[in-house]
Amino acid sequence: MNYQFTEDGSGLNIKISGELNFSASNEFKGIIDKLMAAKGRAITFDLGGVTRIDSVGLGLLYIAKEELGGAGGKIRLKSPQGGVLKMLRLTEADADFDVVG
Amino acid sequence: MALQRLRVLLVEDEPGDARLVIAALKESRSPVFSVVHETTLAGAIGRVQAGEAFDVVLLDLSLPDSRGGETLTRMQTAQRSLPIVIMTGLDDPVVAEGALEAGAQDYLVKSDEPERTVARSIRYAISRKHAELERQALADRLAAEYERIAEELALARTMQFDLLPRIERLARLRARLGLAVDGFFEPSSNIGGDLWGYAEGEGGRAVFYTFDFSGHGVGAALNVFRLHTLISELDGRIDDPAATLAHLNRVLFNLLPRGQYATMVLTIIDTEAGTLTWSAAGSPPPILFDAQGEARLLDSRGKPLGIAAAAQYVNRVAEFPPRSSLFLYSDVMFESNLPNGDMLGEDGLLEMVRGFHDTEAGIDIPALAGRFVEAVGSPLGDDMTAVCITHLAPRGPVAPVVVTDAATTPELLGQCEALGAITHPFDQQLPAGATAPLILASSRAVAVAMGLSAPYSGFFEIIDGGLADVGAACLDAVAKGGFCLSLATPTAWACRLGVLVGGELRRRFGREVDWDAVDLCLGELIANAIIHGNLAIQAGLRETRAGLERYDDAIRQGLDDPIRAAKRLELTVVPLAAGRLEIAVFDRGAGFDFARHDNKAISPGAKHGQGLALIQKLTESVTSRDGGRTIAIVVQGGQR
Repeated sequence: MNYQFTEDGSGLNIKISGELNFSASNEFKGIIDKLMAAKGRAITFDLGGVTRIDSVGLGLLYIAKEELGGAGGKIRLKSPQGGVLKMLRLTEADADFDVVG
Repeated sequence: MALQRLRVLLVEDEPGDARLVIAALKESRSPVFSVVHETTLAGAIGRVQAGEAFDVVLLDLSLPDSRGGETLTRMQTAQRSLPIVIMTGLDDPVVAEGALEAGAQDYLVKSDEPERTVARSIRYAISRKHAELERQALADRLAAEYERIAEELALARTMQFDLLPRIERLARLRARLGLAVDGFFEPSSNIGGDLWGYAEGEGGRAVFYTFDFSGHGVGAALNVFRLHTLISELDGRIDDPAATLAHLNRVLFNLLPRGQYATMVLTIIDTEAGTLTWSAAGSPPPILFDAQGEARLLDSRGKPLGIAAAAQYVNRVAEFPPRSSLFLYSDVMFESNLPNGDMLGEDGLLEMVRGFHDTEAGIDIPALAGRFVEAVGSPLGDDMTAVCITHLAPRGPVAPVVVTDAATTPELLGQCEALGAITHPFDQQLPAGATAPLILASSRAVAVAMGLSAPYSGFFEIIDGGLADVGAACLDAVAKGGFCLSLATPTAWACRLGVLVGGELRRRFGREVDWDAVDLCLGELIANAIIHGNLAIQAGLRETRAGLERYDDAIRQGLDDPIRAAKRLELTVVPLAAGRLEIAVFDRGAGFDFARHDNKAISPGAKHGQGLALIQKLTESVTSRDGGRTIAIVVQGGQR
């Protein structure tokens, strides 16, 4: 998994690419630490470049959500593709996150 | 006309003779002669080698420093292109003729009246030498040209052999469809107008053809390349031989000069249906051996390709069950004459081919070709092609061959043998006719992807010098037409297993499956087997940011722990009936308590413990084997 932070007027944008799965936890800790420092901003995970997801990877998104304590409203998940979108729907994660196309 | 001046080198030691010649040459006004006189051969050669230019040499053979034929030879050696007229003191035709044979252009007898003959003789010698030099230059050019053509013919011959189906492709065909193919090809005048080939069709089908262009040599060979290209452009999309022949005929009709044509036979063998469909364009009649070994000639009537734009062709069908053989060949095989002058003929050929046929193994092509050439004598008058395709009898499941790039130690051999597999060194070619599926074994984790690509159907990682502990299910999956992986835990962790396997599933089993769902299931199976199986890490760690820290530490420790790292993770894929697939992942952990988690609903928001519920929602069935160490799912095609 790789990620890239960008920032604009509307908030923080984290573009994730590769596999958001059991092997991504170490990198994902880095994302959470950066988000903690920017608490209160609107957060968007751009998932357009994610090729694989598993329940460990989905769990990582939930950890991020909880660590931010729901401040600043829902976390936005942008452009999930194929299996990623299927996973979000199956686990009803689309109710906990703001999933946008 | 310009005044012609000819420079003459006179080599003569008799002063009287020299004077007579010089006087005679002074008489001539056209051409004008300028004479340089030398009395020794050494003096004459000295002038020539110093670069003085002469148009002709008048040479006395008897000089103070040289005599006879030697004089001529030494003068010639000094300058090859100089015309030489010999002067002899005697009217001795033997000496004179000898000099002409040795390369002098003319001779003068000194007793003749030189004023009448010397000028004419010089002009004659010069023109004769020029003609000789021109002939030589032409011969040199022809020789160079011939050499160039010979080189190009040799290259064309190599290229023509390159068009023939490669051994590896034929080996794959044998493994995949149970068709054994052997061919003999020998062009007559270096290169020829024959070719045979094969193209892989859809399902259990394979396409074979032979063709033969009129004529041989370069022209016919160029046509061979043309037709081979046309067939390659069809890219295996040949399901109606007659329609394909009609298409090739139309294209060739426009391409070929009038009077050139090709005979051809195009066949499709469907191994599943056990049929042979063929269409012919005037080829020699193929010979079909049925499963009982009875031979018959197949109807091959049809207009040769390239003669009539609107020619039509017909498909003919015959049974081609296991133990049948088809023999395709070029006309040289029945048009050749035996030493007694009789033509071998179709009956003679049939009888000869029968002698090399066996219902299990087909026709022994090398032996047949050897016998044929021996019978009709070499060289053959035309290109020769002989191909046999045999539908092999199905055998029981074949033990896979483990191809290993490590030194095959007795330990490794024993481990493979215990698995029921044969080992084979990586750097050696497999024996011809090997039909067993292949598995690559290596200690290098980078070879995983290679083990999933043709010709391999799996990869075994060699851990600590061995293949102990490889699961029998791996070989079973491969024997059933699927594929397998057996990896050490760190390799399974790092090699992006889900991506590799997902890609291979799509490549092997087509597009009619909801692969996104399969990817999700595969991801859950792999994650569970590595994290909770082999590395024995508790799921509950992953609850908070701080928990993630402990989780990562636990993974690092696990991968560094030689005992846990050496545990294998195995993945098998087996095709089932009706397009379904079983995907199973086998770990060496404590075993998953399947019953406790069975039929649990997905709980939204949970950070762990979701895997099985997710899989159950996406698949036809999920089962557990080996005390919860193997989880197997069945996915159905077309469930999108």
